[in-house]
Formats: sequence, structure tokens, C-alpha cells
Amino acid sequence: MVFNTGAALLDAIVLAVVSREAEGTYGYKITQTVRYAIELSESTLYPVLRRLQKDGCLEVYDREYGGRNRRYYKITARGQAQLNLYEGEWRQYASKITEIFEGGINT
Amino acid sequence: MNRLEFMQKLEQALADVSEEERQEALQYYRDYLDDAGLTEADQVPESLGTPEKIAESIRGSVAGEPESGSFTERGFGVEDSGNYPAKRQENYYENQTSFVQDSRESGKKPANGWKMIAILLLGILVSPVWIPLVISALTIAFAICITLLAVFAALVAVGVALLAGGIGVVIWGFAQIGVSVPGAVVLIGAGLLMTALGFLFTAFFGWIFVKAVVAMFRWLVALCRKPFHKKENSVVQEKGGETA
Repeated sequence: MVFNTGAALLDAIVLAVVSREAEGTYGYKITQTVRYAIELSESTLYPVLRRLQKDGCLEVYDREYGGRNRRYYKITARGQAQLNLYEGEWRQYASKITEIFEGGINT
Repeated sequence: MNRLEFMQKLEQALADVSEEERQEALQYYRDYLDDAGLTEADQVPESLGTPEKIAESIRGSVAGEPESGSFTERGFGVEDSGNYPAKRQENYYENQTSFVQDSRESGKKPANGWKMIAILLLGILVSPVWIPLVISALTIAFAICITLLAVFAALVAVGVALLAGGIGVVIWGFAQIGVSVPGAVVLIGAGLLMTALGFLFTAFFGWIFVKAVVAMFRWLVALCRKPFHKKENSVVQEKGGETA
């Protein structure tokens, strides 16, 4: 894993992972999914999740599982809008970089 | 270290954030480690990081509340290891600097320091005005509380009097049975009524009295906590200036 992941990209990744589940998902699962793509500490996501929640992009609810309460994160309308923005930005960004790699841009 | 030690150290490291934030964070990690299938004796994975670093990133996240992007970098206290895959392995935290974030990072720290000094100076200069005002306000509030408590206490006393009186009248009524039965019935009836009213009064106002006392205590405690919460925030602001 060679490239750094900025805070905005990390937000986008987390929002995308959460949005895949209609009922939302929980911290451990989100972390394992994100770690599939990028190497990060297992604690990196807590501040991210917390902030997305405070910003109204994620909502939380508790669901019982195996005799204890598990906290689920679910994407909100605002979070979905933010995610769409991010995905648009990413497509542009990635395609431009790909162009440069493939020699498409002559300066 | 094992899970038990990890959670203990994490709780200690989070001692200076608010109770709510600390409990939320601890609950998150409790759930996380449960989902990871770790018992208290199990070793926590290195990929989880140290409790100190975790607490630091949480503090950074709490302090920089309005800003969204840049505190993530500070929160992790990261060294930029560049693009060397081998060195990456040691890094538990990503370097979060990205081209989008740099503009948001600029100079929040120095501005805050000056603002605080200015506010402090202003506070001292204006103190002849606000100190007496605060004292008067507190005194008035105190007087109101005492008055309310006195009123409730008096009403409770009325209740007790009615209760005692009522019982007395009932007994007197029973004593009159020999003299005049209708008279006795009237007395007993009135006495029972008084007793009932007295009981209601005592119970009701007694309950209100207790509630009022409890509420006033709570309010007082909250009032005393306020200055400490404010102080907490300004102390935390100083954190996380390191960009290595």
C-alpha cells in the first residue's frame, strides 16, 4: 500500500461502505471492509465515524446481538448526498491521473 | 497487552475528555473487541494501536469540532513515511495529509491563544461590574429557593396538623356515641375527612419538598461544573501541534 489516504477520501470510503447496507452496519465490520482496500490501524475509524455522525452524515442505533447491544451506523440523506459528491470528485481525479500515467496529457 | 489492560489504559488515557465522550469511545472499543472475539485475557492485536495514541486522536477529534478535515492528521500524530512500502509496515496510522486538506489546516492555533488572553484581560478589567452582579444573582436565586422550600415545608406542617387533628376529632366522635348518636356520626365523619385531607397534604407536599431539594442540589452541582468544562476545552486546544 503505497499511497496516502487523505481524510476526505477516508470519509468517502467509510460512507460508501456503510451505504452498501440498507440497515447500516457496525464498527468492526466497517473496519474490516475498509482494511480490505487500505492499510490502516484498526482504531483509525472511530474518530471518523464519530465525526460523520456529529456532522449528520451517519445516524446510529443500537440493536441487540448475542445478549448485548451493538451500535449500528446508517447513512443519512445528507451522508448520501456527500457521498455522491465524493464519488463524482473521485471519478474525475482518478481518470485524470490515469490519463497522465497512460501518457494522454501533453504539456 | 491483553484486553483488560488495554481497556483500563484507554479509560485512564481518556480521563480528560467529557464523561459522555469517554463512555461512547469505551463502548465502541468494547463492542469492537467483542466482535473481534477477544476475551479479557487475550492479547489485543498490534494493528489496534496503543491506548495513548487512540486517546490522542479522540481528543483531537473532540477539540477541533467545527473543522472536519485537518484534525485527523493531528489526531494521529503521524510521521510522513513517504512511499516506502517497507517502512509502511511500522506505521499504524496513515498520514492523512492530502492536497485537499492543506488549505483547511492554516493557522487556527495561534489565533486561539491570543483570543483567550484578550478575553481573560477583559474579564479582569470588567470584574468590578460583573462580580457584584453575579453575587446578587446567586443571592436572589438562593433566597427564592429557601422561600419555596419554606412554603412547601409549611404546607407539609398543615397536612400533619390536619392529620393529627382529624384523628383527634374521630376519637372525640367515638366518645360522644353515648351522648348523642347523630352528633357522634357527624364528628366521626368530619374527623375522617380531616384525616384524609391531612394525609393527602402531607404526602403530596412532602413529595414536592423532596423533589425540590434534589433538583436544587443538581442545579448547584451543574453550576459548579460549568467553569471546569470550559477550562477543559481550552486546555485541549493546545494539543496536537506536532506535524513531525
